Amino acid sequence: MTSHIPKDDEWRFPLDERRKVQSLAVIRREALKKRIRHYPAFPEHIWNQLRFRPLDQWLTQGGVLIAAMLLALWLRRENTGSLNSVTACSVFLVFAGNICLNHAARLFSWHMAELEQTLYLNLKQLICIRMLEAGIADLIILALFLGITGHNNTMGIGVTLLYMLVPFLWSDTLYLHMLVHIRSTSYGFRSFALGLLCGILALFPVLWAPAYEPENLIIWQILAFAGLSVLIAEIYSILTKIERGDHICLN
Amino acid sequence: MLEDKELIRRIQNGQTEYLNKIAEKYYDDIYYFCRYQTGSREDAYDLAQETFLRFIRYVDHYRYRNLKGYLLTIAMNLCREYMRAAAKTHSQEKIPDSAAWHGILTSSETPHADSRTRTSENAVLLAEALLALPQTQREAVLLHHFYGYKNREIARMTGASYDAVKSRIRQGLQKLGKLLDPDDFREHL
Repeated sequence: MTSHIPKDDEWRFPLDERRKVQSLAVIRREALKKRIRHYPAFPEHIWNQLRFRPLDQWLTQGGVLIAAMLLALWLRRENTGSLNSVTACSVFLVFAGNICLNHAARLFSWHMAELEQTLYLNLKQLICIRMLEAGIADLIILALFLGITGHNNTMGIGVTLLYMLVPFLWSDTLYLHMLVHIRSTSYGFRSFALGLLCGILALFPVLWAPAYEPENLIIWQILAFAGLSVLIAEIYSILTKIERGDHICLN
Repeated sequence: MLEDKELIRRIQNGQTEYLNKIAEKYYDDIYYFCRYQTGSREDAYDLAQETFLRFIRYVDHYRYRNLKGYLLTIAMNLCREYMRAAAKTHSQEKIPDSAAWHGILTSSETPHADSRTRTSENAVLLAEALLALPQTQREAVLLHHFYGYKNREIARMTGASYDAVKSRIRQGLQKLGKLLDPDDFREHL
């Protein structure tokens, strides 16, 4: 049916050489005027982020990791029950998450968009890299808790993860939202106050005795799903705002 | 001849003279695409030229994968804009017709040798048949049958799903097969 449709070079025909030469001359003129600017690729951005990361950020994150390890070792030595371990770890994870995320928030500063335009930075990529760093640090802490305190855990890894991740997810989302939208107070105070407030949220399950009862597991599952959805929506909203350049990072 | 990857590396290192090499290398391919896609001789030259001008504008950001595919994607977007504008203004002279195709080949493009004449006549028949296809089918058929791209690559270039591309190619080739009368067409081969 289609065998007679021309292939190879049968469909090519001679061009008007005069017109082609004219076209190529226009292209040549434009190529002469062209000045190449260097736009770093994503791996180069990652390398630059790590290279120019301030010392205080390395020290803070290192301190949080050491504290997580000490807490996990202490919980193991004291042989606390599964529930107590999970509660302590989830509260710690919330605070650690907020401290790590705090570094990403530094990019939501005034004049950052102007800086981006001047230096040809890709702010979207920079924020993704910072959030990726924070996420990796949180995962390491989570793995430390599960690895070190897991030997006397009777709840199972799925349930433990749920109890640890739900407060973390909601607190992180709320913290991210506030960092982006509440911008009137001074930077250090704001971060500390918001981190503390969001961390306190993680204590709610501790204050409500039946929270960890097996019949309430469905509530945790719903909260985990809802938290994940809100976090994705929040990240999407931030990236869209960066793209449009309103609210965030612009005077 | 230098590989595309090397050309891009040199351009991005500031040797912009290699932009001309790319234009010389791919000009014909881009022109044929614009010509078959729009049917207009003069506008196809303009569209091919604009394709390379756009490429020059964005070459700083370009990450090498498939240069010809990238240029064809720019050309395809330009052709879409052109067809949209033509449809909006109801400009009849912009809407391709077979007379335009026949007219083209009487001027400086008219080949003298018999074999070239046959090729040109085949091109006219093919162009008429292609212009009878819907735009998306024409794009897919051109890229697949004439430029040799795979369905997945076309899906990436056109932004359509794999299944949509597959069906456009199948339906487009079927229609094209019916439109090109094998006997008439073979006379010229």
